[in-house]
Amino acid sequence: MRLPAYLENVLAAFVDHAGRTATMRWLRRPEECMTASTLSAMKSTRVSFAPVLARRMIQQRWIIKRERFHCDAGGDGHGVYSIRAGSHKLTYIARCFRWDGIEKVGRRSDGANRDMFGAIFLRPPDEERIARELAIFDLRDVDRMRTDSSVTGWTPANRSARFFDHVVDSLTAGRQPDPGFLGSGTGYLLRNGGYLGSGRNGSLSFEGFPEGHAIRHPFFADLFGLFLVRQVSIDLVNGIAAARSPKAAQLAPDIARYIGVGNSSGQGMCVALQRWPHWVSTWLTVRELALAFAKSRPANEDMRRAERLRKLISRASDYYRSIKLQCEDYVVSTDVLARNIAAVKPWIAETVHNGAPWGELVRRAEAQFDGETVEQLNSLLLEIYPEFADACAGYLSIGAERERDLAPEMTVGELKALLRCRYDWALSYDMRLSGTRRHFWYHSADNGEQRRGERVIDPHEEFESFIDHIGLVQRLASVLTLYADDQHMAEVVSDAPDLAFAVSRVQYLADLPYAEIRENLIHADFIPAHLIRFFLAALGMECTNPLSIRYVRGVFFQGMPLPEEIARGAGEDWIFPMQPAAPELDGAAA
Amino acid sequence: MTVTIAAMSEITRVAPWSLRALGYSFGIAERAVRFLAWAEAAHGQMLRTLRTREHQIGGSTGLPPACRMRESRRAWRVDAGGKHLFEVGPPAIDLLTCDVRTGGAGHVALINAIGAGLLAGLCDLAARRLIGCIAIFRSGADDELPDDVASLGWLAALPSEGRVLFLRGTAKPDAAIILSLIRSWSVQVDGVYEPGIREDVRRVLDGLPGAHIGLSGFRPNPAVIKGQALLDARAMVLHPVDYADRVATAFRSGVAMDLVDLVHLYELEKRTWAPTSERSRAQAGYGKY
Repeated sequence: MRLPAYLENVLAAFVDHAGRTATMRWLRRPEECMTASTLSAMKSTRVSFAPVLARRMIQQRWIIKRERFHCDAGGDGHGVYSIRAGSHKLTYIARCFRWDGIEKVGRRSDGANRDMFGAIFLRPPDEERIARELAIFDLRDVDRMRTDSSVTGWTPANRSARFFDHVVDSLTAGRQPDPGFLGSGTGYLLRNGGYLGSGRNGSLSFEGFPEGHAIRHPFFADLFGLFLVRQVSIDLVNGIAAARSPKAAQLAPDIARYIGVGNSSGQGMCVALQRWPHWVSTWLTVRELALAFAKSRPANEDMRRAERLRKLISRASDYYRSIKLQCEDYVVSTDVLARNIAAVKPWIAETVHNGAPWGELVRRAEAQFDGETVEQLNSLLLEIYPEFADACAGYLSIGAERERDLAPEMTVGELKALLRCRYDWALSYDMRLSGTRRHFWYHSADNGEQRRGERVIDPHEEFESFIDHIGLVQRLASVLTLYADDQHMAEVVSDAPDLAFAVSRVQYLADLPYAEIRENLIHADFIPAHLIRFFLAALGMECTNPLSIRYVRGVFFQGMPLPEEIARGAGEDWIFPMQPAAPELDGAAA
Repeated sequence: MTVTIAAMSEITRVAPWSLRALGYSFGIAERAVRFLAWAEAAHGQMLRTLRTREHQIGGSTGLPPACRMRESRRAWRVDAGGKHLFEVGPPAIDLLTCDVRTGGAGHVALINAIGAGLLAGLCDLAARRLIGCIAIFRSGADDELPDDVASLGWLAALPSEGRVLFLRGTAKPDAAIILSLIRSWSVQVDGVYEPGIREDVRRVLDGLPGAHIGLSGFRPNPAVIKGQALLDARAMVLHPVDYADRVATAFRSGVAMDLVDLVHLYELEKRTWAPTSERSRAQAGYGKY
């Protein structure tokens, strides 16, 4: 397997030739980790996007200052936050709407009817511009709401009514909310309503970000928006409580820190993964290389790393034991994960004693436990070699910016050889039975949300979203049989222009490891939640929780330091937060 | 006219579905949208044609495939048969690229195509592939072009100093001038398909109604890549046009356009959305199965 040049250089900076050989020996082959079920088992790691962003915020001590925040007792109001992100100044504004009594569970299906809208300005706007943006939010009409390139994106969000009300009621009564109750809802007050950036509604295109800008990085603008939503959720409950009672308490920092921002994702994520395979390749190459490096290191080379792993396993086990998921039908239960991962702890000393590489510890876990337990262990292994993982993470933005173009001078014979070499698994897949082609993805009239339909039964098959990469490759291979091996792809594409996508996909992924998901997504038995979980773990969501085969919930940034802590210089070690103890005394009055 | 600003990423996200609504397959729409967005940024008014020429474009998607014919070892003739450059443009550049990369020079005569507003964007693709490209063109009488695009003329796109240099011919195409430019810009003296270029000039000046686009491709010499062509252009009274800057500005600041054109783009997209039904809602993911 060939690594991208950037990652080869990273590896060379850490190990000699023998070390490289050892690392490459532990690198998993695509057939081992590119199926939907193995991808589904993967957990957030320190090279997932949210932790990478969080480290940048913490290390650079980003300053997020609430310039003003006001709301009435019903939650109607707005806030303005100034942000210093490294050397860049941004502004965030939030418009909170009075609660209408309706829990909005979808991301986009409710259009502009959200409980909150926020906007990140690339540069500090004047008051007139802020007023204009707030007026746009007040339209609450998805067809008339438009912004401009001074805004990187909008952050719509909705209340989690039960938990939101509990917190507000508690604070209004002058006491802190029950952390146990918050934990039972995975700890959030506002839920992501689907980031609207990268050109949506007229916002700034990703390519339009200034070079070197603090959030010019894949998913940073989206995730930073989520972090800001989390802060608004804290300020909002404090604000409503204060408006309702002069004796109201303010949320205690320990509980505020325990609050994350909720997220639910659906089937559109599968389409994105199929549409942008070089993203998948980039995320996995970084992750797998960092993992292979960690696995290759002798467990007895540094006792501090072994001790760190032991502590992390304890924390992970405690964390899984502390949370309650709404549904565990499609995942390994958190109780089992807690138990399994704890069982690995005594093996650490044995691995150290034997002088074995960490990979042997993983092999032992693989022999005894389920895939999710193993992937959790893998995730923790990355934590004990942070310097290597963080160096690899530099490739996340480089790999994502790769441009796809067609090489028309490639001969038919060369492309056939490429197909045989890289797509043997797809070419040998039998698509004859109707069950193998049962589903298709389409946009629904519910604000364009992606849905999955059944062929023959559901309408609009002609407008299906691209998701069938196996069918695409098989059709390409079939068409190529009509051409002589010395003809060029230019001729093929000239005769069948719709195949340009297939040809360029095969060509530009040829030298990328881990690019294609080895699963038939249109099969009757395919479970979309598997790939949704993978995408969310890559983004950095802990504890992804499918409520159905098509719909996955979870929380971002739970346990991450609060803005004032980040500004002061918080520690980076915030994953697996423990539920705060219930306060014995009522919180301080505001 | 009500002016609005659309983001480039907004166009590239929405327009593939709009093109699907017009009848293009995923593979064609996915590729065409890059040229559509580029042309909107470079010239403006390309999205407008999706509204004003909707039936013409939609009708062209159902026409028989374009027909290609080898005219010589390094020349193709492609009869688009009324199809749009959304569909036949990029493959024409592929044919040109292939011949330049394998033989040093190439020529494609693309006839009876509509959508000549995309031509500069197609030449941009060639230049980004490090190929010098000259287009000699006359659009069809029934084609609708942005105000910024002439219906007859010639255009050079050259890889130069890490970006694409565009030079617009100031007068009617002249075969002698074009041939001398290609000879001075090409890496090899014989990197010119002279009969094709003379035929291109004759065809675009013959006054007949059909569209003709002659694409000549060559390997640019190192001096061109270092920026010499711009000096040549000044001497030859060619007009440099900084399309790259227009596109970069569009990514930073968006593209101004008539609101009705943007609204129509979204309306087209929505035609690909399946109507809400109980069955559709059941697929939304709420509930256990």
